[in-house]
Amino acid sequence: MAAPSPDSSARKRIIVGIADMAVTNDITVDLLADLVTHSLGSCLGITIYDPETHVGGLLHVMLPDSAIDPEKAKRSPCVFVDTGVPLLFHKAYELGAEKTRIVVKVVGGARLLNDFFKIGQRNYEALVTILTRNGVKITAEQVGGQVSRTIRLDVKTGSLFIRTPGLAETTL
Amino acid sequence: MTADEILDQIKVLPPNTQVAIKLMKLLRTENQHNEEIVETIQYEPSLTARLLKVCNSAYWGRKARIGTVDEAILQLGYQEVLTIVTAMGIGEALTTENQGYGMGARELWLHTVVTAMASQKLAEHSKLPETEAKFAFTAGLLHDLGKTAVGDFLKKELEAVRELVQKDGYAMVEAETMILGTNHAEIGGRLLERWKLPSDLVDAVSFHHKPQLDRATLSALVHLANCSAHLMGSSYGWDSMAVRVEPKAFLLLGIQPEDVERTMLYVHEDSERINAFIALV
Repeated sequence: MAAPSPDSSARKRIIVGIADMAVTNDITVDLLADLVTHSLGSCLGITIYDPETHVGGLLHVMLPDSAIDPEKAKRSPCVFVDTGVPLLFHKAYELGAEKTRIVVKVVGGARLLNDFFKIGQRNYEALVTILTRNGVKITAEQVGGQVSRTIRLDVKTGSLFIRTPGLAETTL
Repeated sequence: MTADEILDQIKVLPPNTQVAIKLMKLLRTENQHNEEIVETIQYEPSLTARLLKVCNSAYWGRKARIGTVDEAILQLGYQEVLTIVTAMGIGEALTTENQGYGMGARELWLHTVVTAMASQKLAEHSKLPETEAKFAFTAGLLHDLGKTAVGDFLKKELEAVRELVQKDGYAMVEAETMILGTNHAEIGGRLLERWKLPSDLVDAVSFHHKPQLDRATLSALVHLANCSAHLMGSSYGWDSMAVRVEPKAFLLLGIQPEDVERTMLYVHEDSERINAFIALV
């Protein structure tokens, strides 16, 4: 459950599905907004936040590289790290976010035991590559391991809450 | 405990599963016994009514109006009718909250449907003979049925199981065996054996965590499908990623690791089918 807060009734919760994204700020929706995505598995949840304009974005990507299916990447760019991440930043810029202020946080990329697929790891590596190329640093992260995580970005404050079944909620 | 001791203490079956069981037994003899299939379904009028309603829903009913079980089989194919009836039959058991796995009411059902779809798609890329590949979706639907039986027993031993998985790094199925003496795969397989289902299905469920590796098998296929589904985050229990991958399954099935990624893409693309199956229960 989300941490109880006095204004919980006034919160707008935007659910981001797998291979999807949302970018918002609490001014345009006229409410305190949360961006939420469920059960990341080996997928990555990438959040960006500009504290000055309160522009927050959340991207839930599934696979590292669009080269495996360029057609799919055209239809659903948010499936892949290399096509989803640029889109996430552009949407945030459109709402007034500034690159120099953007705070990037990353969660997910979990692995199975004896994980032959390394999808989580490769997702993370693809993200680091594209961010480095563009001179953007990751501020905080909780990646890898053997847990599926659910995250919630508070667009008012930029706090990122991480939930795993059976464990206490943590904040990034 | 043995699988039988656990199964003797609980009730897993919702009543209308009996029809699904009968149909799965007829799998091997499809076409020759169409009448028998139709009769089996019609024996249960409430099921027939539900089936026909589903066959005329937005997802399944776009080709033509379906008024009888005969027409349903003609339009959708026997395999598809079987998967619908099976899903309706076992879905009830898989949509209850399962505290032993820390799963909410419909989470295991989502994982089940995603695994079934991944299984069917992977079968297309695999060397699996057609006689077994046609069970792929159904095997996926059945693979975690044992979890509905193990849940209550695990709940009592939760601390010990969690320590084995979260601290010591065991797979969930290994921790189950260490604590209970059996596990959800074995129990699920035993349950299907009691229902006298075809041995391919029994083995696919019994060995989905420890696939038989003497040849291309349905258990290896369901193993990889299950791994894909876990990677996609479809199983949101506390043990969601505590699954051990058997890389030999790829070799035997002639599946490339990229095929797993393509399968994940396919499953994501076909959200309409996922939602249609999820809505059956």
